[in-house]
Amino acid sequence: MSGTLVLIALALAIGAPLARLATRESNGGALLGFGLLFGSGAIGVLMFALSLIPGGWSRTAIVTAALVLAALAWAAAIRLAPAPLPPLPPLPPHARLLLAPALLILAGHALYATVAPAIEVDFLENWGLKGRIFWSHGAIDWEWLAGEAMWQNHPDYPILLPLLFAFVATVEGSWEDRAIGLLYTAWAAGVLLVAAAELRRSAPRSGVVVPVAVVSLASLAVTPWIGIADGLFLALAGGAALLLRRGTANLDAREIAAGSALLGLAAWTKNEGMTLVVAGAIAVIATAGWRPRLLAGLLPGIVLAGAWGVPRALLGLESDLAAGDPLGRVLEGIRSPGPLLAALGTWTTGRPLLWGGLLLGALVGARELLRRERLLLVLCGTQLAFYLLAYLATPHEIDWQVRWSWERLVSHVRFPLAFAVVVVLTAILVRGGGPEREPAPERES
Amino acid sequence: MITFGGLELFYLRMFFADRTELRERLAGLPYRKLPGYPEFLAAVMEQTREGDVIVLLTPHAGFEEGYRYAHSRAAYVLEGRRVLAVLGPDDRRDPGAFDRADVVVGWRVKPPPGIAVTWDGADGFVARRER
Repeated sequence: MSGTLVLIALALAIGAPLARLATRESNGGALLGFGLLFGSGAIGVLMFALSLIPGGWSRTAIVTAALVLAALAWAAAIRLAPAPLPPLPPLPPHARLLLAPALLILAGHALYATVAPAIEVDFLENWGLKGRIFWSHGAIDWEWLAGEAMWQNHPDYPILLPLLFAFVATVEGSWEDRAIGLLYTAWAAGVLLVAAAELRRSAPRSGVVVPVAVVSLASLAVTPWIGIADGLFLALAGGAALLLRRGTANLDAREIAAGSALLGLAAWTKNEGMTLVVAGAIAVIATAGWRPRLLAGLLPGIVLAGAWGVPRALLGLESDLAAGDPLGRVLEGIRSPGPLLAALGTWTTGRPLLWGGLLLGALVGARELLRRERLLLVLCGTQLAFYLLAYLATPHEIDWQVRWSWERLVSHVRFPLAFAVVVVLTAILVRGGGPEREPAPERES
Repeated sequence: MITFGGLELFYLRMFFADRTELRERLAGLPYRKLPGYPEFLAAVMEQTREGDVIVLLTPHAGFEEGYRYAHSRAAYVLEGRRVLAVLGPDDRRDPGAFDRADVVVGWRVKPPPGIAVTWDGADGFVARRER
């Protein structure tokens, strides 16, 4: 357990000042939330860098390096942090009580996530196996990754999550496959704290409405798939979406750059992050127009995504989607979409009450949704379109592919989509109008 | 509707769950198709050394007919060892795996002729190859 707790503590120590620097955030909860996301990414990248140094993965080396990184981040935040966002008014005590169900869901999730070793097949065959091999090797084992041992383990999959598992094991001194479940609760809490602050910022005089909205989002932030990458991806994608939303509303290149960095970390987590970087760029342009200074803010994500692409290309770590003639399969699938439609009809994501509620909410707040939440709608819609294209490109049987992935893939965009509907409904309930937003500054920052 | 539709009561039930029973049930799930396999892997772990390259034999005829299942669990559990597969995703056998291995282990199969078995258990064997 100690390795997991050290990872969470160091992620906060590094990430909170980075978040203060990158996002202008002033709310304590949101700083913790963003801190966990940025900090987890920073520790993964640190492990990647230390892997290039012989002996770089000793317990002393990784903890010292993380502490130095935290000190540098704090020094930079103290000297260079921009003017913070206006503080949020405190929640009234009775409204805080209404947050109890969200806390209970997170606590229950922590109990579930740590009750047994991670058992997902993809943990045993991929994410966990890579982390365990890297940890045993004392560094990223590129030879193994590119070798024949990887024929069944998707060598092309990004390695941020295995690097975090290796960090935990190195600090712990032994392989840890049970306490790592707590990381999934922490990441969920992180993105939920960020969403809560954004909801309060959108409707500062909301009283009890925002806590109810936070409770609505709590179950969507946690993931049942412990040990695989979707939990971290969901949190990074959610945090990124909310930062891009704020950046485009405020025309703030700094916030867009911070959101883009989270997109880049998502690309270090799952291959779907690569398309998320593209979807993010499309959403920013569709929302804020062609503004070169804002578009420059998308660079961190592109650079981070590209950085993982280099070793992947050098070692020839190819995706199974690229096998054979993927373009031909896509064109054929577009001409004959029957198998995909049948699979999507068979393997639904469940929760009809939730989807019905979201649809109804979207209809009630349609005007505001389209006007104010365009970024989230375009981002999620584009990402879903990429997922459907991937299904058409797959060399595997579509029904099998949809059966074992659709629910997980939809969970990536469900959180930001639900946030978009909930934030609009919150504003309507509070003042019978659109969300309260701080006015956009006169010029791009 | 959104609040109640999204609410995942499963997590709230965790407060009242028998954690010991749940842990035992969940921990056994990845091996439920191969009864006795965790004990076999524990024995292999005991009989081999860190850094050993191991080749795994099982009675499965096809890669997706059980070999992948057995191999992936062995590769994960046998920490510090490399587990080579003799059967690939296309069901093609890789005889070269034997040449690269320090140790041959078999689960519910007889040892191939010509190798000296160093451990013989109810569910399998371990044979260290002379290099």
